[in-house]
Amino acid sequence: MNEIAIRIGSVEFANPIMVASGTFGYAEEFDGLVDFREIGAVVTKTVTLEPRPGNAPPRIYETAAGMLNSIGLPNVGVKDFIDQKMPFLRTLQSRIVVNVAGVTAKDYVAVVACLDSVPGIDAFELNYSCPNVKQGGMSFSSNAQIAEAVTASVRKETKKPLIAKLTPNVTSISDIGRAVEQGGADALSAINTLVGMAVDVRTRKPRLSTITGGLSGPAIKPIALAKVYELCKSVSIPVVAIGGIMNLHDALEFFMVGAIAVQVGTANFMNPGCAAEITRDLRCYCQQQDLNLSDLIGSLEVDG
Amino acid sequence: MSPDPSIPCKHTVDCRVESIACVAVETFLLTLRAPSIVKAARPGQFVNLSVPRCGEILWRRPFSIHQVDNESGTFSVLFNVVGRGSQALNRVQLGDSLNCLGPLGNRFQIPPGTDELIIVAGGLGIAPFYFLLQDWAQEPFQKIIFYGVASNDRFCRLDDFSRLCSSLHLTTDDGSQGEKGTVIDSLRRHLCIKSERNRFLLTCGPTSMLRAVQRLGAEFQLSGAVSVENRMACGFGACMGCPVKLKNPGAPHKPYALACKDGPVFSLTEIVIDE
Ligand SMILES: Cc1cc2nc3c(=O)[nH]c(=O)nc-3n(C[C@H](O)[C@H](O)[C@H](O)COP(=O)(O)OP(=O)(O)OC[C@H]3O[C@@H](n4cnc5c(N)ncnc54)[C@H](O)[C@@H]3O)c2cc1C
Ligand SMILES: Cc1cc2nc3c(=O)[nH]c(=O)nc-3n(C[C@H](O)[C@H](O)[C@H](O)COP(=O)(O)O)c2cc1C
Ligand code: FES
Repeated sequence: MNEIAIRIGSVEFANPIMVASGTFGYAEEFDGLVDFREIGAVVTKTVTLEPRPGNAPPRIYETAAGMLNSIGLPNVGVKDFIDQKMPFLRTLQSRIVVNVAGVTAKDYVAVVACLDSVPGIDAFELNYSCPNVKQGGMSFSSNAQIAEAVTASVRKETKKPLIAKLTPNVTSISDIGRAVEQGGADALSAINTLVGMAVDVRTRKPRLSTITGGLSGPAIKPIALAKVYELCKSVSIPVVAIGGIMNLHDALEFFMVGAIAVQVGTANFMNPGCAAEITRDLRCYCQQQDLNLSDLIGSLEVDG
Repeated sequence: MSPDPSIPCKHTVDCRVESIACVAVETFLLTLRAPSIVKAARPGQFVNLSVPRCGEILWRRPFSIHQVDNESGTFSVLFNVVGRGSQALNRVQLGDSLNCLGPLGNRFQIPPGTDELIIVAGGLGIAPFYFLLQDWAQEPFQKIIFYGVASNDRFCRLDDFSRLCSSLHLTTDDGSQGEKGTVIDSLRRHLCIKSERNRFLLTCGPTSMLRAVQRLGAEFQLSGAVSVENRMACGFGACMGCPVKLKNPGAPHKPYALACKDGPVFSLTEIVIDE
């Protein structure tokens, strides 16, 4: 048997193909569209302490090989998440990673504290791209000290694996990566969306209500690869790669630069079965090549 | 209402192109073979079609289910060529395969006791109503259509529609056929005629028209439903990209419904229709 299982902290994942936060709802939306058993982990839509309405429309715009979004983290809040969304998630065989965010450092701690004893949750992903109200709306992962401090305080609330999700909209992503590693994160995930913009030339208005938004999809894959490569060289905790992954080939590139796992995001919208297909293709590939996943991870060959 | 387990719910399926025909200026009728979609589809629902061989185009494209044929297991969409996606769709060949995600969204429902159904359609907003009229061909109530387009070369399937309804009122912006003006003028005149009938209105089309219909509905205290066409990335409630503003939200933190999942059909008085 060719081995494709991975481990983050104390938790084993049957395979390294996850679905990215905000692109898979709370999984129930995909019922009938995908074989959940083939998904290593479902990462939920970001959950916050209080419910959030989300941004005004228009929230999405299609760009060349990508899309812009300014959804604004609408969600039912942690209480309703537990009551209304966990029952379905709990029925799945996939690992469940709950993505959490807050507008203050205290919020992150409070949400994780609420969720820690809820059955069925395997790990947490901390969405550090959320604007920090205390820092004038700068995201939590744009400042190494803050990112480290938030990670350290959340660390005290849970023994479950903590995955810190980083924004690429910073000068040095590896500085932030090293800081959250110091803070006690078990893994990093990268990248969240890149700040982007589009204009309707006819009306001279921005295409999104928030003017700028987050770019995702195949258009960002080369950037994501470079960021993941940089992170893998800078930290000693595992890195989960995200950004424009549409098929096995894309996933293999990320494994080769050092990622331990990948998350499929935007691709779920067009091909809801995408993550499961990649898992099946990966298993075939490993069989054909007679490899274990560990033989692929970090196997990039650089001349000289 | 709980779903009937014998009806397949939304799924993805490769469909064979059975025919594609130009039915009006820049307007095409595309027929696809997909028995599983046909079996599940209800009037008002839509499909999200993969656009063939277009690297740069990311999203699927949503289209109303225009017509179904149970015998041949085919359904059709009626589409306008407006951009890259619909251009690519227009180039498909017989026998090509298109991936279809559907059926998606809710459906048109008419309250019991209705004895006059008023359909108001602008441009390609006519698309979902063929399926509806097909499905309700046996219903005894009056079916009155107000159908407006820019000029007469844009009308689609007038003979078929006139067979399926009690009366068909046509308007064109340039007066090239039917009445010159908008469906709104023609609809207003109809509503001014006092009637004992229980009227129910359904509408689909450009936003400006929907807003005008909504205002008329309020003025004449008419109940009805509107089908909206927001931009959609997924079409099944996953991206939260297609919010529709609610007039009276159930809770302050839930000011929006999703066009793809909670709609595309909403009560005429339920939503705020803006730009
Ligand atoms: C539920 C639903 C049902 C629909 N049913 C039909 C139908 O039966 N027949 C039909 O021709 N069209 C229908 N549409 C609209 C159709 O999806 C768009 O025309 C199509 O996606 C445009 O793709 P494109 O790549 O050709 O254009 P783009 O290059 O994406 O855009 C070209 C132009 O089309 C406009 N446009 C893009 N997306 C939409 C949209 N979702 N709604 C309205 N305008 C849009 C843009 O503003 C732009 O002006 C429906 C949309 C929805 C959401
Ligand atoms: C519509 C949309 C909503 C998203 N919502 C969230 C979210 O709630 N929390 C989060 O951490 N990331 C969110 N993301 C970012 C994705 O999880 C992912 O990091 C990013 O889209 C890059 O991957 P991709 O190119 O495969 O989509 C969202 C992305 C999209 C496109
Ligand atoms: S289009 Fe994705 S939620 Fe409606």
